[in-house]
Amino acid sequence: MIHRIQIQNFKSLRDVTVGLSPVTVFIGKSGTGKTNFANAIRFLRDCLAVGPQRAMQQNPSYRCATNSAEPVSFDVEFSVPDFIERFEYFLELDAEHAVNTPRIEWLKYGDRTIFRQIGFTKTGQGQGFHGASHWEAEPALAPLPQPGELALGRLPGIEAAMIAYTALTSAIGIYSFPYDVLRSGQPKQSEQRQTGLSDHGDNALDVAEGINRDLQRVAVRKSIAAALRKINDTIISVEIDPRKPVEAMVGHRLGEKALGLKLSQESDGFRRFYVHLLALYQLPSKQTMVFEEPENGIYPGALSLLADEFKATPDAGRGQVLLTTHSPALLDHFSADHIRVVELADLETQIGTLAEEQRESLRGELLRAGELLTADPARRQEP
Amino acid sequence: MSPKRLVLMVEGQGDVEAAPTLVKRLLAEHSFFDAVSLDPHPIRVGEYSKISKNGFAEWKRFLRVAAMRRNLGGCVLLLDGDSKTKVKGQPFCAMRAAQRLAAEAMTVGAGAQFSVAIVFACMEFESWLIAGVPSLVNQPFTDGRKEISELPSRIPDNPEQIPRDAKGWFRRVMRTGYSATRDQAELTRLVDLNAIRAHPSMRSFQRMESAIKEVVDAIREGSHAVTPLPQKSG
Repeated sequence: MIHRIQIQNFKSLRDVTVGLSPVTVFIGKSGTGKTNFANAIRFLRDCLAVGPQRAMQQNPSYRCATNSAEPVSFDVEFSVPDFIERFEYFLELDAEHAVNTPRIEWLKYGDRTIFRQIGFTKTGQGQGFHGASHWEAEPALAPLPQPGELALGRLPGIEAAMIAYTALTSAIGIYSFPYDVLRSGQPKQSEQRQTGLSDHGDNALDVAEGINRDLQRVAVRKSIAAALRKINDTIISVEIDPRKPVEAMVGHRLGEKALGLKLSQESDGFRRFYVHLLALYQLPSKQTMVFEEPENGIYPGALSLLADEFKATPDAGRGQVLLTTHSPALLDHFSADHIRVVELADLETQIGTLAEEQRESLRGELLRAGELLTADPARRQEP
Repeated sequence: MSPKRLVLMVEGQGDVEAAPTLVKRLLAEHSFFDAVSLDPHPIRVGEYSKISKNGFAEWKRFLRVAAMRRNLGGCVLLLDGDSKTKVKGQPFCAMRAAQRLAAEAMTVGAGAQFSVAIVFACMEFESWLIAGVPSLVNQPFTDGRKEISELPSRIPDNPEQIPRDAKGWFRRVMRTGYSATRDQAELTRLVDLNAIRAHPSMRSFQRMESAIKEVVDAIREGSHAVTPLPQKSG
């Protein structure tokens, strides 16, 4: 779980520090920077997974990642189950030049520095880069690897470093599902091995198949089916024939018999609801999941179910949930402690907790959370 | 004494921006800023029919929300007077409705802990703008648009009564139509307030000004006003 993240110079996030809860809901007007926040986490994850240069090639929107000549930096404090101390990872990149070599990178576990490397430094306009990468704190590894490229993830043998790498890469999902998610109804025959549900859900049926095949965790498929039954009480399960990639079928109870209907023929709302469940129940679980406007296309009556699923996820050990929303109906199910307010001032995003007077109004049940998007728009507590 | 906070409570999304624009101008014209600071975040309470339901529960709830704001001096509720909701079984009457709202406000602290002023624009906020429409001709919006290029041929003599649909009137008059959310604040920023004041039938606008003055006077004196005063029972 990410407890705190500081992001500097990523798009509209000039210098933002956000404390995160097991469930955190980001609200704010359009264009204030909610998506930039999600993309910043995605950028960090992708930089670590494939390197900054390739991350920028794969996602052109990262190219203008910085709105200034200042370096992009991330400082993330996070924890991992069964590890007593918290991790802290810091990365500073010269995004303008999209080099794979970090300017500064370090990892701490508790008070212990696992490694710290200092990379190239830019000395001034037109003067290029000077200095060589070097370890300021060497990783306890023999032989000592060369400094230079991102160290996190290339220090096998140092458990804390590899755990931190996993926590900040494959254990993070940034989900923004399109309206036609799962419309093809067929498992994706992906050439690239993916760990868990992909950001846009295009391997959703692979994930569903994995859940269905895991007989040690039959409860997971039962939980998904139970949630689906709350929006359609005839549903028994969603099944995929593991022998051949044919249409996924939704089993409906019809009297004493089961009737299989193609998943692709279910409504957009049903498929979107289902793919959110797959994200929340995927095996292995993500550590942190970000959902952008999950309410889109979902029947309003199902939003309370979705909210319940989001809130239950951390307690069930299935990961931290961060989401953005413009839906009063969805927001109504969250408390002041869940909410972070995103505002834009002088083209810079600010993120903070809800203004104390509005927190009091929510606590006193004078205001419904959804009204922070309508009657009394959310305000950020002044620092 | 630091200025007390004045919180606006408004009906529609267009009012969220337009009402502070208007009240800020009024406060500036009357040099009221020594006593009050305008809270830039109005509370959108909805129309009279909504806040009067269930024994005015919603109205009282929103007043309690406003009361949570630090250093509150007073609340100004500004609604459109074109409601079709009956008041005590009688056809809608803005004065009776305002008195009823005032009485309910007093049950949650108005008059004792903070001031409250209730104003109905007759028939709508835009009715005031119709009264000042000659001053809007050829006035450029912030984005450069000139939506009213010539004086409309038919300007209602008494915008407080006719037309009933002032928003519709602007939709017909403005070059690219009228959207309250998009245009109401711009028109409010541009309109000549003296043109509205000079109009012979703008009683609800005069009422708006006097109500704000009552609240500010009370704040200056360290007391709390309720305006209009509730009708005495019996």
